[in-house]
Amino acid sequence: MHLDLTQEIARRLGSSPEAVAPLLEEVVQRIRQKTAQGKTARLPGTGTFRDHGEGLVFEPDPGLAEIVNASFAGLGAITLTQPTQVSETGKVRRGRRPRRSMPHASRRRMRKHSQEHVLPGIGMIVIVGIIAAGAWFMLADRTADPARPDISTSVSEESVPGDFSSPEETLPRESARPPVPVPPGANDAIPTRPAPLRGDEDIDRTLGGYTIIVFSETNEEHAWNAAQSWREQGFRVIILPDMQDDTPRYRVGVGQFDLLEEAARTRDALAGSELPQDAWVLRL
Amino acid sequence: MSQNDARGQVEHALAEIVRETLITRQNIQVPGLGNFRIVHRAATRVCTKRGGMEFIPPRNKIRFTPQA
Repeated sequence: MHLDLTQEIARRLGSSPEAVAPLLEEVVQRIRQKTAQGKTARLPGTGTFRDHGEGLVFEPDPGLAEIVNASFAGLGAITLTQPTQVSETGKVRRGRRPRRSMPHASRRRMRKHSQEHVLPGIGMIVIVGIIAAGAWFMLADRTADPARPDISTSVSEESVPGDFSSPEETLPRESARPPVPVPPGANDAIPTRPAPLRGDEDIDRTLGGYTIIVFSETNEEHAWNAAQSWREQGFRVIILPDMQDDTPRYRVGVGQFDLLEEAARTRDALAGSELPQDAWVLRL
Repeated sequence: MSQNDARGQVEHALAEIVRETLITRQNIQVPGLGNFRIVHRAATRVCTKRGGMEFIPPRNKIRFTPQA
């Protein structure tokens, strides 16, 4: 390249390479010396050289730069902007992604923080709901269980002293029927065999009143036999059919009393002797 | 011809040769000075801060590497 450049200059100047070589070196040395002094050395029609301590820098001549980019002449930078949108409120909105109200990490922290407080609350609500449902089922089961006399007490108002508000309520179960409390000393006024208890005529349910249940069976035939037995003993009897838990039940009652207290006193006086120990009073 | 005139002619001839070489997109090395070359920059696409896009056309750059 060195020889080519020297030969090319010599050819153009019509001289010999040997004569051109020292002149070329002198031209280069002058450029170097000038730039080393902080000055600008110019190569005509090509550009300028300068040196600011970071090495020799060449700045091409604008004309040369334009000629080098002749194939790209007329091409300039094109800037495309996002179309602006005008909202209904008149605000100019650019097609940019909406800025978050807070950094993503902060939103995630807040979400996690809120979950830490919300989850225990939800868990407590679920637990309370389960407990309430369990209690409701237990109470419903106990109410429907015929083998639980404590619950049936609330169902049978007939045996509750002083409560005669609903005579059409379900009949109480006789097996666990506790005796109706009677004030002490009341037995003195009771005759040994009261007239309502014994007689030839059976009990007329249409007259109302109270009777003493002495027998209860799901078998109707057994109930009729028991009633016949009590009738033969001179008691006024009645057979009271009833449905309990979808099961027919037949009760045999003896005596017909106008007042609950009277029936209770009779039951207490004769229970264990002429009447069964577990006899109980029922409203007709 | 004086020495200065001869040096001036050589200087002009050097500048002309460098210029013509660069126009033809060739590299040229000047002994004791450095190397001239043409670097082509392809078209680029730049996203602006306002959400737009700027297309920069291709261009040829003149690079000079000084001789150590």
